[in-house]
Amino acid sequence: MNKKAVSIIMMIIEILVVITAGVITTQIANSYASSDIVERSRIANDLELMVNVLVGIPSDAVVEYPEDVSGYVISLTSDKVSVFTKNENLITHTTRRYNLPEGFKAEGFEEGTKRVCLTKRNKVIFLEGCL
Amino acid sequence: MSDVGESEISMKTVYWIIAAFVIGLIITAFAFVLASHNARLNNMPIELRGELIALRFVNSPDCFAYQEEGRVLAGVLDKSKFTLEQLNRCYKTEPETGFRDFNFRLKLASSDRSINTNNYFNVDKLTIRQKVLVRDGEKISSDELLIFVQDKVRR
Repeated sequence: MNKKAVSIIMMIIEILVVITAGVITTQIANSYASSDIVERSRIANDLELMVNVLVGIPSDAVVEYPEDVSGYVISLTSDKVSVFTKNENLITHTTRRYNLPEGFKAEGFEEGTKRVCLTKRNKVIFLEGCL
Repeated sequence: MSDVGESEISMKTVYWIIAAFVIGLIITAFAFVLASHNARLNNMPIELRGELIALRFVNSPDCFAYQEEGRVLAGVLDKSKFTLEQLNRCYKTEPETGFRDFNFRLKLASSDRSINTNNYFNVDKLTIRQKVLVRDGEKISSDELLIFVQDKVRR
C-alpha cells in the first residue's frame, strides 16, 4: 500500500471518529437537557410531598395536581411514587420514596390522564383522575 | 511499505489511542456536568421536605396528635402517645437503607427525654421548632416541640 492511500484511509477514519464523537455528545446533551427528565422529576417530587402533606392532615382531603400530566404514566404504591412514559424500561422510571405511618396505604395508577388528584379517605391515599 | 509510512501509521495509532481516551473523558465529564445541572434544577430545600414530613407529628392521630371522641386536635400533643413505639408506628424507615431517608429526633423543650426514628445517627442538618399544646391527662400546657432533622447519612 502506498503512503498516499494510507493517508487517505487514516483521514477517513479520523473524520468518522470525530463525527461519531460529535453525534454521541449531542445525543447525551439532548437526553439530559430535554425537559422530559426535569419535568418528570418535578412531578415525582411534587407527588411525594403531596403524599407527605396528606399524611399530616387529620381529616380526609383531596388535592388536585395543578398541571397536565397526560404525557406520563403515574403509579402510586404504599412506599413510592413512580413517573414514567408508556413502554419505558423499569430502570429509567423516576421514583420517589416515602414512609407512611403504620396502617396507611397508598394506591393508584393513571395513564395519560390530564388531571390527577390525590384523595385521602381515612387511612388510604388514592391516586385517581380528577372529577 | 516504506519505513516512513510505517512510522507515520504507528504515530497516528498512538495519537488516536490518546485522542480516544481524551474524547471519552470529555464525553463522561460532559454527562456528569449535565446530570448535576439536572439535579440542581430539581433541587428541593431540605427545610421544605423536612417540615412537610414533620407535619404528621403534631397533626396526625396516628402520631402524637390528641384525639377525643373521634375529633383530632391538630397541634395538641398527647403526652401518653409520646413514646418510641408510637414514633415507630408513625414514621419508620427501611432498616437496611433508611439511613438515606429523613430521620428525626423529637424532644419537648420542657423535658430532657427525646425519641429517635430507627435510623437516626445524630447527624442533624436542621432543627424545626413548633409551638404545641401538650395534653397530659386533664392538664394542658404550652410547650415547644424540637424536631432535629437528619438527611442522607453516608456510610
